[in-house]
Amino acid sequence: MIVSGPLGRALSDVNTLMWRSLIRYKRRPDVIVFIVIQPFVLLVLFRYVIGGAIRIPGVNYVEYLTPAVITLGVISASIVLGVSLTEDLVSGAVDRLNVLPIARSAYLTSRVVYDTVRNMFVIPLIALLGVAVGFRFSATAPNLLVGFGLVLALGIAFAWISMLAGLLSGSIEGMQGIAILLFVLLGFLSSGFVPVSTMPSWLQGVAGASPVSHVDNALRILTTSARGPVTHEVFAALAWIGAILLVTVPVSVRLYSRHSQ
Amino acid sequence: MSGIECEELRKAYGEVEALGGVSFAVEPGEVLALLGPNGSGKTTTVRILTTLAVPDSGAARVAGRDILHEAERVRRMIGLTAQATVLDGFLTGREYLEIVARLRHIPRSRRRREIAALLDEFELGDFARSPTSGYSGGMRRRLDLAASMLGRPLVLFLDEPSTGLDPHSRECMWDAIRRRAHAGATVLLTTQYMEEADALAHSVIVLARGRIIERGTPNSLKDTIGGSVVELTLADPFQREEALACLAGAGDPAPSERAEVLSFVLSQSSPPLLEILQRLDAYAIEVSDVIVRRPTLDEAFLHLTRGSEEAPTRELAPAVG
Repeated sequence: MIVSGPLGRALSDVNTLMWRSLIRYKRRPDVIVFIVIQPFVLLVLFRYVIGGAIRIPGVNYVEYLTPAVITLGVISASIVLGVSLTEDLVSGAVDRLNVLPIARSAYLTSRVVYDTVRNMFVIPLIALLGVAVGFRFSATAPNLLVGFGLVLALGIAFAWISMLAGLLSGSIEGMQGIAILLFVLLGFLSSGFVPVSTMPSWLQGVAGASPVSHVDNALRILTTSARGPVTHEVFAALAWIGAILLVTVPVSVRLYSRHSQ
Repeated sequence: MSGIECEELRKAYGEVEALGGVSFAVEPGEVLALLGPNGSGKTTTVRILTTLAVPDSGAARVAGRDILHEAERVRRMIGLTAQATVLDGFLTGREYLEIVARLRHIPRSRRRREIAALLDEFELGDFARSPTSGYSGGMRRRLDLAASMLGRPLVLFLDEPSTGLDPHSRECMWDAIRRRAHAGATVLLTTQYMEEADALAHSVIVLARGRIIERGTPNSLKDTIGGSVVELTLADPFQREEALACLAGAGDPAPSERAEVLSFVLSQSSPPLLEILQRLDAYAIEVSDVIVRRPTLDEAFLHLTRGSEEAPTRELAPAVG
């Protein structure tokens, strides 16, 4: 690290803490396996078990399904983050860090940066699993990048939601409860697995407006033969992500720095 | 420059008062032991001085820096071994030290040397490449201590460092602390073991319910109990009650672990030892052994905290460390 001064030190702290996370995943590959196996199970389940009964006119279901599984994979991976943050808070590991002369922001930042880097690998990997069960891309390279970038951004938003939940819950069990609720509600109450138009009208508004729906729709239009108002979907998704970050980042940072006092 | 100075530190958690106005100073090279039962405010004091908690009122300087306004600078000067040993089980001992050393911003060239020296000092060299999840309790504590000494902090905080340590690990730790103090570090340790304070500390502060009830050197603390302790071993343990009755008024009875041993503290008003023995002899109570000794710090501590428990103005001890 050539940058010096407070910023240089903060960057070096983030770097060190990411190294810690890297070793954690290296020694506990089961965490990574869990992150990829879950989407794979979803893919197989919805493609071969449930998908046969789902008819979406003019659409091959595996093409409809795969973008949603990619999104859901990133959301569920972010749960791991909140749980391990709670672990670090409860066990006293955070205290141990806070007594060191490190930048206060380094811990939370390192977790998010690390997760984002990891998602850069997780997203294409899930897409490849989709290909394995019959998904076919029909996208230009720039469209693909925009689509994946959008999922990556959604991952950052959910990383902060997950950390905020971890900071608020105060116990590992509580955090897992919140996480599962979040996962099921946001993941399935969306356009991810069936079109919103098949839902009762009172639910359509909620499901259609969800950030997950907008990312799913945008990804579908960008990477498959599906057509739709792509700009609208992308901007709606970005607006959601911005709003989530606007709330979760300052609140999380505040809670984190107050944690021990 | 003083190592630690604090004045009138107060801290309450909700309704529970954890610290009720604590002031003391520790000089560089000095080892201070905070002695007290659970909930006496030891850990709260350490948390405040290490910038992990903020006092409700009062002020403190550590290594000359204000804990509230120069917290970042304070953190650069201190090392803490907290009560609970939390290590990342997936890291090896060396990796753990490496991460702490990097977070302390120790230059690369010094890092390697310092880590090697600490692994050696704490007898962890053979396990440096094994994940800490496989370490014994003693090894984990030693690694934790080693980490707190990275970067040669000017002020060391050790919160009940010998809890759960085997005798060998404890000796190893005591030596390490003595070396740091000898080299000029300021050391504050909390302990429930009087033996530890006796072995390490230059000065001792006894805390009870968030207040200082006594301070001094280990020796002066022993003096507060009064005179010598007499231990009489009875030839027949069944004569205990009889002997106690006969010795009424001769001194302040002290607890004893064995039924056949009567121990009590001689006070100013006690009769001479010879008279005590004659009194027992007159009742045909045979004494097989007599020991006269200085009180242990344990006895001094019990004596002091018993006094505080009887004080009617104080409330029940909170369950905060």
